[in-house]
Amino acid sequence: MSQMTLDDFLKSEPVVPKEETKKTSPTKDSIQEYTPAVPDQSEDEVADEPQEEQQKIFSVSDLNSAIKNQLEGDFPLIWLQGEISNFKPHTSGHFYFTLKDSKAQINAVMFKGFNRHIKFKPADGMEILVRGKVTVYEPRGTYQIFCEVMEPVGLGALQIAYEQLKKKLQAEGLFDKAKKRPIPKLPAKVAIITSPTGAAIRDMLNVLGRRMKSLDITIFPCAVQGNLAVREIVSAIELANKMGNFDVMIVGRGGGSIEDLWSFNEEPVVRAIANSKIPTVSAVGHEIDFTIADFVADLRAPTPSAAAELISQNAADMVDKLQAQFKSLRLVMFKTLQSEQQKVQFLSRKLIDPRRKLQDLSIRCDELEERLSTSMQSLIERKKLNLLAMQSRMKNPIQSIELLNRRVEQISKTLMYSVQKLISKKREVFLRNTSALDSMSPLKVLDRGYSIVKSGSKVLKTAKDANVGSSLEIILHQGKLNAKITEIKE
Amino acid sequence: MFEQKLKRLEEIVKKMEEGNLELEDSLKLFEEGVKLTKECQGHLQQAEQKVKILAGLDQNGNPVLENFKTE
Repeated sequence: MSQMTLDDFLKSEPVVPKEETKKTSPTKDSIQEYTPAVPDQSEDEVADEPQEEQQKIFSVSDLNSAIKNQLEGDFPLIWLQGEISNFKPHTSGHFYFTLKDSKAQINAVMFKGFNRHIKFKPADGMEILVRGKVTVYEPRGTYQIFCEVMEPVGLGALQIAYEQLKKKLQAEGLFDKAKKRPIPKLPAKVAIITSPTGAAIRDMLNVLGRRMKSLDITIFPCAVQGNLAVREIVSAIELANKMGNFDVMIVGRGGGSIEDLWSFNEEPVVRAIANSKIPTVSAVGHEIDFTIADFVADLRAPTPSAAAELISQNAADMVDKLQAQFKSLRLVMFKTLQSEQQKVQFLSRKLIDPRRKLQDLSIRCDELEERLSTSMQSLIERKKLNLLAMQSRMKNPIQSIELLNRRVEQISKTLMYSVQKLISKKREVFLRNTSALDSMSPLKVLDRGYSIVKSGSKVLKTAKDANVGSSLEIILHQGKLNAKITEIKE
Repeated sequence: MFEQKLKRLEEIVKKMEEGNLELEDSLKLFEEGVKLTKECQGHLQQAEQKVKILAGLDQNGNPVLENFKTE
């Protein structure tokens, strides 16, 4: 039987509410036409039957309509159990899927209004119990179960296989925490086992290129779903181990259905991962997908991108750590130098520089010299004062000489003065005397007409002294006369 | 390789932080630390991502690697 397409389902949607009205009006006729055929059959004569069948000719619409009414009437609300397959959550929010058992299958639909109450995530392979009614899509003559309630029942075949293998390997101790090897903090070489064409490898290379360019990456291409997948994944893991120079290995693929991811629940793949000598990170599907490979891997990454981030996480941390260490290194060097410098400064302060001592001494010397000179000067000054005092007390011989000189001079001056005075006095006296003398001089009498008669050098005062005939000298006031005595009278 | 170097760098910083070293030794350690830092940075910051893909096996069963180019 061909599966119903999504379009068919979408077309079938409006049919559902319409059926209520259909039941009452036009379909009623067809039921009336059809229903008598069944209940009445027992009552009617058997002979009539072929006649009736020949007479009644259904149109396709009528038939489908009749079937619809019959089916929907007979199976109004039923419980149905089956395994989900071809599960398709539509963007509209409705679920379209097939319910099957070992021999048959039926299309199923669950609208958003109902399926939002489901607590688990329906997936292919899951055994479920649904409550719903059978609806017929007349235009196509198809029917489906219209689910209103869905509950999981037991496990689907794949789930059972999954649980069985998980239990078995767990019993073998393949999931033991003690078996997990640490993922190297800073791997240099990584083996990536995945499809070379999927989104997974692109995502991983993006992350690694961004966060850890230094990583040496080798891709081991393999199919990750389909018939070849298990064999290719196993041989890729084995080859990576044989090459033996990888620090870490990532095994994985992008998201998909449980069937798509199934290779990672296959025993050979799981065992190959468990036996890998290279520390392994599993990266299968999405966050919610758990495969058995995840349990045996040394580390489970929720997605391929996350796997790339996990192995490069430390590289980013290392860059930070390296930077922090370098910062500390510089700081401690700076501090060391600073403290050494302080030590040197401290010591140099304690160390007396000979030059400085010399300077000190020189200063002290200067100071002493100055003091010496000052005290010397003051001493001299004092002595000088003393000397002056003494000097002042002591008579200066020169001065006394001078004094005496002066005195002599004075005395001599006085003497001179008095001599002069005396002289002038004497002269005065003399002058007075001479003038008196002058006044008394006979020469003065001459002035008045008197004359002096001299006989020889003798002034004649009496005629007796004269001798007739002798010569006489008469002195006049002006001039002299020479005369001869001619008589004498007594 | 890198981790050893980083470990040595950490040792150096610790030793220097303890602070009872001769200045000469401190300077030597500092020099070594700077060198290690540069080397470590070289390890971490490569210019180009190196991606190879297994192309198959040769006659002797040895893996043949090719450069992998993303579209």
